[in-house]
Amino acid sequence: MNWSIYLPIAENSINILFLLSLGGIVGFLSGLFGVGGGFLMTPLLIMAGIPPTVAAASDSNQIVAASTSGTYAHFRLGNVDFKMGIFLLLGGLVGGTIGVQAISVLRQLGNADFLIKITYVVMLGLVGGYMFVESLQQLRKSKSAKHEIEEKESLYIRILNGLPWQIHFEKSGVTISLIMPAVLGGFVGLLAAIMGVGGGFIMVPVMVYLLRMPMHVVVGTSLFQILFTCINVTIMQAIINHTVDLILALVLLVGSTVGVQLGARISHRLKADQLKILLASIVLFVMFKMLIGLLLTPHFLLIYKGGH
Amino acid sequence: MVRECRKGSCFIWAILLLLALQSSPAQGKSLRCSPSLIQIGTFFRGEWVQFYGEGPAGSRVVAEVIGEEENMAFMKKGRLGPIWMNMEEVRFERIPNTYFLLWSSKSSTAPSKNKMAVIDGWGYNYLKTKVKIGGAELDEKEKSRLFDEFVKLKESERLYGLLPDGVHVESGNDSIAFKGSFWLPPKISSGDYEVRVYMIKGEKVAKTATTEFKVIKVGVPAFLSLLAFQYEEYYGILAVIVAIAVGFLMSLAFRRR
Repeated sequence: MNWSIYLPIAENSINILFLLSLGGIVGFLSGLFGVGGGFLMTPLLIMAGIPPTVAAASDSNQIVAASTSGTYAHFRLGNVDFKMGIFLLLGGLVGGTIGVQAISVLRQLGNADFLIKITYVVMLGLVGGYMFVESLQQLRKSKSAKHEIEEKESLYIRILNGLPWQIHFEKSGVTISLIMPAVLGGFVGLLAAIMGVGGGFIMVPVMVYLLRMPMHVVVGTSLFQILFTCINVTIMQAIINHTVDLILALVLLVGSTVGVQLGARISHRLKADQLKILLASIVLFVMFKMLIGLLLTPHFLLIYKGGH
Repeated sequence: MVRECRKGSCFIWAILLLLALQSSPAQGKSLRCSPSLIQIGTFFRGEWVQFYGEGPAGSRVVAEVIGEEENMAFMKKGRLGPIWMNMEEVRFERIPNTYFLLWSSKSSTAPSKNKMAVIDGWGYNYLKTKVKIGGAELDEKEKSRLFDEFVKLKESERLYGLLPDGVHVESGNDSIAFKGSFWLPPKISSGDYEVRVYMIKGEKVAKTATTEFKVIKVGVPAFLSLLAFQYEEYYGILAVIVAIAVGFLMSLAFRRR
């Protein structure tokens, strides 16, 4: 039986069961952790023979479906803070625009690729490492570590309380200055634009550690924010670069929308620290894989323009 | 679908062959290609193409399959300290998007694959002398190294290849009959392709023949390609609407359960 399907924009044929499974696995992680999954899906699609630019753009398109499904699933569970999401989104749009301009300047100077790869590895290492250690400490319920964290929290909370324009976010149960989500959203948007990803794996730790949001609300709110970011990216990629493959996205999203529902259900059953340590492990795995890829001699010393 | 295509293309073939006969007495009915029209539909996963014909007795057969010439942009990888990264853009100008060199390695006088890779007049060596590599300051040695990398990349996509057993030759009393075949991978681009056959006696080309085949997208792939490249705004919005609709419907399906 012919399980291959032709992808008209990628101009290649690929096994439909492979795509459904890939979509399902990444969608599951998306529903579980509130990340878009682009940092996993795009490299896997490239390895399967999809041109890099088509892989990235079509992945954005399928994330629209997965995050719609995931946001709705988390909304039903009461896990989406729309007010916080909108502030983060506004900051993210400004940060993303600045990041795109910064990359354009750096590309002209010839240093963009170096900066992108180093930023990627450093950010993944920092975020993954911190989350892993902190979650491990929480799971072990080390009294000394807990005491240390509480001391750091009180200092940080004092700084937060000193900022103007304090707003209460009912769903998250926090009262903070609106400067915080706007600035942090801008910072994540900037990094996401430089690194060429949706930014979910940075946004989730930012919400947990810097905005003090509960983990279950973080997942739903992150998906809500990713939804709008990816709508923007999909339309821009379709118009400017003609790299969105609708067939590829459709098959992936059928898998991912099922996966995201399962992920959202399991996310609700797991403890926050268990979720954090799982996400941290995945982030660290991706970081080590990237680092090895940067250090080992590549198989091809010439790649199509637009590749990684 | 292929049978229909064959029937439909018979008439076109007859006209093409007639024209070819008029233009060159050495070309024409000595070479045929099947199928002459390859249709890329929703479930396309590549296709075998055969060519066959007759030639002078005692001749060897070498064939080239050549795709349309394109300008292609690549990034050259290099090291900055311990880290490998994309260093600079390299452009290959007027290089065929597909290239196969086929011959029969069964004959005792047939050259090896390594020899065919560097032989003048055809093969990779001919392409190397023909292509213009630019976009960065490169000396001849570096250009040669980059060309080899280009071939390695194309061979991994099965769009370039040296096929030692690609042609089967049967000797008759006063002529030979040859038959060649090659696999067109799913990554093949739409466009026109040429098959050139050289019949060699001793060290000289005794006869040449050419034929063409066409690759086109049909059905859903053709429609979506048209939409993506001609009506990109609608295509982008359609992609988002479809994604949101599927995501939402899937949520409802799970809600009921």
